[in-house]
Amino acid sequence: MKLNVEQEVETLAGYTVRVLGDIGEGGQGVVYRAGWRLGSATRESALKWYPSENPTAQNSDFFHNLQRNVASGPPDANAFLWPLDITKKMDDGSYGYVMKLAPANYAELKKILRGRVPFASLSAIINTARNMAKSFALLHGRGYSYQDMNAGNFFIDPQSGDVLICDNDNVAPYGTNCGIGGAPGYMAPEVVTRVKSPDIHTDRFSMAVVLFRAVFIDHPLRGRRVSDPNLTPEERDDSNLCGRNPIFIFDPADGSNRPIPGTHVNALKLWPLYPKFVRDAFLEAFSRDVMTGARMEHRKTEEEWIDLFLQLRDITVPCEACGAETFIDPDEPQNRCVECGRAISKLPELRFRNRRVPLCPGAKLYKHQIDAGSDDCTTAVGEVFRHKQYPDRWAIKNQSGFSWTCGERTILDGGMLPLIAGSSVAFGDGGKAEILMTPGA
Amino acid sequence: MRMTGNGPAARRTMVLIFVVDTSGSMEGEKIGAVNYAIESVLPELKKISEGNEEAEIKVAVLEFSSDARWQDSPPPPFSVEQFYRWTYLKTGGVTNFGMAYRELAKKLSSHNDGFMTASGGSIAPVIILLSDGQSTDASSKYAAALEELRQNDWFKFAIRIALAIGEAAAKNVLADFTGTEEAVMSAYNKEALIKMLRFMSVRPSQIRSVNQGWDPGSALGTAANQMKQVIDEMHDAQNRGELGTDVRDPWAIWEGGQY
Ligand SMILES: [Zn+2]
Repeated sequence: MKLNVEQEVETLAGYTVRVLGDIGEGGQGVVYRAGWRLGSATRESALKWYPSENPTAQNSDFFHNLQRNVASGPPDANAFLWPLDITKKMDDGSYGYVMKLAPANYAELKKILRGRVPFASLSAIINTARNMAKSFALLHGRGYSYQDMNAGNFFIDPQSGDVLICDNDNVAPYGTNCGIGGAPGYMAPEVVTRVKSPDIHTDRFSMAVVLFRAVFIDHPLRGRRVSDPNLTPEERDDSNLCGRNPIFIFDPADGSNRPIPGTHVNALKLWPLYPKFVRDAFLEAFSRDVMTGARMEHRKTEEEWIDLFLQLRDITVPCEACGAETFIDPDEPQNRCVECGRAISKLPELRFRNRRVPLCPGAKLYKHQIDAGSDDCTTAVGEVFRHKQYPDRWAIKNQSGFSWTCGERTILDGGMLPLIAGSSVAFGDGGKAEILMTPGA
Repeated sequence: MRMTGNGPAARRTMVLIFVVDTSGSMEGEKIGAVNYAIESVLPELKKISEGNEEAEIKVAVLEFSSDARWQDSPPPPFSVEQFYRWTYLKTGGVTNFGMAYRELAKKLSSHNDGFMTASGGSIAPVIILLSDGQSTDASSKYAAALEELRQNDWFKFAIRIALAIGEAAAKNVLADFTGTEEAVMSAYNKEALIKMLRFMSVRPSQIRSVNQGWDPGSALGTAANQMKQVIDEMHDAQNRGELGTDVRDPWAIWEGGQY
C-alpha cells in the first residue's frame, strides 16, 4: 500500500513519522516528504516507502541489511543520505525508512544528464567528479560496496560540485547481495556476464562509468553499436554492449563504436576539450584489458581518480580574454581557452614532484598542493600576486601559518615570496614538497 | 558555455505500439473508450519519458479491420514528449489479424522505414493488442502471418500484452500473440476497459524504459523477466480491484453497436 498525506507511521526506534507530501517515484518505491518526530522536535526528512509488491524489499536479508546500515551509521554524514530509522511494517508488509532530505539547491545527476540543470562552472564539474570518487573511497574504506549504482543515486549542488549519495539501502558488505541486480550500463562486465558478484573491483568499474557521465554526459559504451543495423537486437542489447563484448566509444584501437554526430553530441564536443591526461585515464579505465582482460582486478582506484581531478583543478584558471574557466595543460606547447578559443599566454608555474600548478594573479594555493600528505583542496595556504607596474614580477603571499624558505630567505606567515626563475622553495611543515619555479617564457 | 551548457545525454528509444481492432463491432462506446484511454494516458507517458535519462518513449498505433494501417498523423512512432493531439480512431470492416501481424513485423525492423532505427539505439517495444472479436481471415494465412511475426527478434524481445474486450473476444487468438494466456486481460465494461488500458500503457512502458527486471544474461531473459513482472502486477492490481469490475451489465449497450 501507499501512504496518504498526514498519515503517521511508527518507527522501530520508537518515534513517529508523518507524511507531508510526495517527492517522487523511484525504481523501487515511492519517496515522501515527511516529518520525523523525535520527542518534541520534528525534523523534516524524506521517507522512502517500499510497497508490498516490491519483492526485493520483502526479502528478509534486505530488511536486516537495512537495519544494520541504520545501526552502523553513514561513513560521512555530509556525503550520504543514509537510512536513519525504519518504520514498523504495515499489515500488508509494506514499510519504509527515514533519511535526510536533499537540500533544495541539489539536483539529481539524472536531471543534469537530461540537460535540465547546468553546472555553474568547470570547477563545479571537477569538484563533482572528485567528490564522487571521495565518497566511494569512504564506502570502500568501510568494506562496503554500493551494488546498485546509477544516475539516480547522486544529488549534486551544481554551484559547488558538492555531492550527496542516496539510496543507500542497497549498500552492503562485500559478498552480501540482497537481491539487487544492478542497473544496466553501470554494472561491471563480469557482473553482467555473471562471472562474479559485486566486489571492490566491480564497483570501480561502475565508478568509472559514473565519473565519465558526470564529465562527458553520454554513456562510455553506447556509441554507434547501439543502433548498428548490421547487429542483431541481441548484439545491440546491454548484455552484449556492456557485458560480453564492451567497446569504449573512444577506443583508439577499435573505431566500431564511435559516437554518432548529431546523437552523441556531448561526448563528441567535450572529449577533445579535456587535457590529454584526463582522456588517457578514461582510455585506460575503458580499455579492453581493464574492462574484460588481464587487468580487471587492477582498475583505477578511488585515490587515483581523486588525485587526477585534483590535478585537473590545479590547472583550471580563468581565461584573461573571456573570464571563463579553462585549462592550462603544462604538457601542451600552446593552450587555447576551451570557451573562447583564444591562445593563452604562458604563466609561471610551480613544479612539484607530482604536480604542476600554473600561477595566475588572484589564484589561491591550496594545502594539498604544498603538502603531499594532504588531500585538503579547500584550505588556502597562499595567494598569487602580480606586480601592477612590473607585470613580469610575481609573488606568493604566505598564508599557511608556517615559514617557507627559498635559498637564503625565510618567508614568514603573512610575508611575500617573490618568484624567481630557477629557484626552489621549501614549504615548511616537514618540507614534503620539493618544488621548482619556472616562470613563463 | 561549451563546457557547462550541455544538451541532454543521448538516449535510446522505446516504442509503445497499440494494435487496435477497429472492425465494425468495435463501433460506438468500445472504440470511444479506447480512444479516451489512450488520449488520457499520453500526458502520463510524457512525464515518465521526460524524467528518464536512459530512454525516450514513442508511440505508434496500428489499426486493423479488413486491412491494417498505421495512424500516420503524426508519423509513427511519435515522441510523447512533443505535444500531440490524439486522433480518434474510427471503425468499419472485418477483423483481419493476419494483415495486422504482417504490417507489424514489417515495422519491427532496423532497416529502411522500420521503427527500430533510432540512432541512439532502440529498446525492444511494448506491444498491446486490443480486440473484441474473432479472427475473420483464412486460418492458413493467419498462421503464416503469426509465424512470421514470432520469428522477428524485436517481437521476441518485446513485452506483449492483450486486452480482450467483451465476451465475444477470441482470447485464444490473443494468447497466440502474447505467447501466454496470462498476458491477456478481459474487460467486460467501459470502466474496466479504460482502467486496464491505462495500466497496460503505463507500467510496461515504465518497466521497459527504465530497465526494471533487467536480466544481465540476455535480451530474451530480460523480455521474460519483464513480461512476468507486468503479468504479476496486472493480476495483483486486478485482485486489489484497481482495474474495475467484471460486471457485464453495461456490455449489452455496447453489443448493440449503435452510437
Ligand atoms: Zn576565453
